[in-house]
Amino acid sequence: MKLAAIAVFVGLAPLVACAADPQYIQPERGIEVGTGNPDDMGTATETVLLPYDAELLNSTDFQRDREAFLTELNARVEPDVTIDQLPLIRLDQIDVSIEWTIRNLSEEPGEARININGGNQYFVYVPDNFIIDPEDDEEPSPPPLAGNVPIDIPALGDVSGVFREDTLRESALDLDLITRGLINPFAALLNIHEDIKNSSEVVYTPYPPDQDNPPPAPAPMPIEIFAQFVQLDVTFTADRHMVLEYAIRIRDPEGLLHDELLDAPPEELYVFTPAVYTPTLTAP
Amino acid sequence: MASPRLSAAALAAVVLAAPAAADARPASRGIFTEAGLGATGFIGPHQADAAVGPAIALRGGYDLFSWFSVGVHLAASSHEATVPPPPEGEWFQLYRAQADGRLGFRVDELAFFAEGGLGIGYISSNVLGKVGVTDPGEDFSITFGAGGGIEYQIKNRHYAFGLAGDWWLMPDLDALSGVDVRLYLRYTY
Repeated sequence: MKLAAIAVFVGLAPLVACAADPQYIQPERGIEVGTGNPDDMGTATETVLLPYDAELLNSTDFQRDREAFLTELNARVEPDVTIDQLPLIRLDQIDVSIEWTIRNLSEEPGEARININGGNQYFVYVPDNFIIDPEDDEEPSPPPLAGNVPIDIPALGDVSGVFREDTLRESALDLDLITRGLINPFAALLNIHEDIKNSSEVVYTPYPPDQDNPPPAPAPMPIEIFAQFVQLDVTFTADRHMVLEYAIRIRDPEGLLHDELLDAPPEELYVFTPAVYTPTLTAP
Repeated sequence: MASPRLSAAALAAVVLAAPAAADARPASRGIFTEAGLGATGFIGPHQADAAVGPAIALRGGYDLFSWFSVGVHLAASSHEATVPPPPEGEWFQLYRAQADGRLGFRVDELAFFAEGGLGIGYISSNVLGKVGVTDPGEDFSITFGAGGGIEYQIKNRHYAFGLAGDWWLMPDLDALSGVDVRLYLRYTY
């Protein structure tokens, strides 16, 4: 009997492990820049709306689970969180990473950059929206949520890499700190916040920094109400003719994504309508 | 040259006659379990899309006769996807469960068998979707399997060791097919 028990345990262990098996969202075409076409400025952006299952997110079971989660959360945090402040897709419900490969199609070595931005169900982050004076050429826009690292690509060669899960978790966290937490994007993006339990642990630094009457700090946000990405904006810039191919890898133990991912019928995907964030907007 | 029909008849005669003719080592008969470790590799058009990976297998069943048993065969294997990047270096798992039958004979401490079955298979990820193995939302397939092996009966009548190899096919996953090889320990109650 001992042998049988060991055999059953060994056999079932992988089945338990597969509960968070990753799924891959792979856009059919890569992002190609540097083609020499007149409208090709050497940079291009592709937006991927993560395919969340509308039937699940609209179900009464899902709503009941959210309300139960909120009740349990409000029993231990102050001030109380409202249902509107609790995102449909919370930060720790899925894990996202992006694997990429850049192919240099030219016969000269070049340099490329990948910028990752995106949005949660409330706001989309657009760095250029933080420029106060558009006529000031020296005013820098904040960095992207992730990336913006120069990558050397050999002639006719390719380079692969990954934006890891912890990197994109930090990006999603920073997105919420910047938008609903009203934190200066430079401060949010240049510091690591992966271990915070509440937004009150982050020094409040409104943007722009030199206001006579800065807005008051918003109510503290427990980590449980930070939102996960619902869209990713991938920007590829290169100084040669290059192609970026990427795959979004998602671990989704709760099955929030549609089984057919991007191939699902559009009416079966949940439609989020985040606002494009500008510093003057008021967070909910 | 003997005809295929004649060869099959001869093989069947050997299979059926061997248990009676051989002086087989005593072995338990009845309910049994097997636990095996080995490797699984893909063959056919998707051979290049995944590396050979470690595999485990469980089989339990009942010896209806000394030469025929029925059982349930569970197998799991883990593979590195070797599709064109991205992604790169990602792993996925393949699970198979099938009802099967095993036909064999024993000569002293050695047993020889052939087996085959039908069941269901599951692939844990769509990482092979890029090469057409999975379609959107598709991760299950019916599974056919067939193979054979050799088993060594130790002096304890409950235990035997074996080496088996199986071919399998998942028609719904773009006719994904592969080969398992495993060493196993068998316990017969």
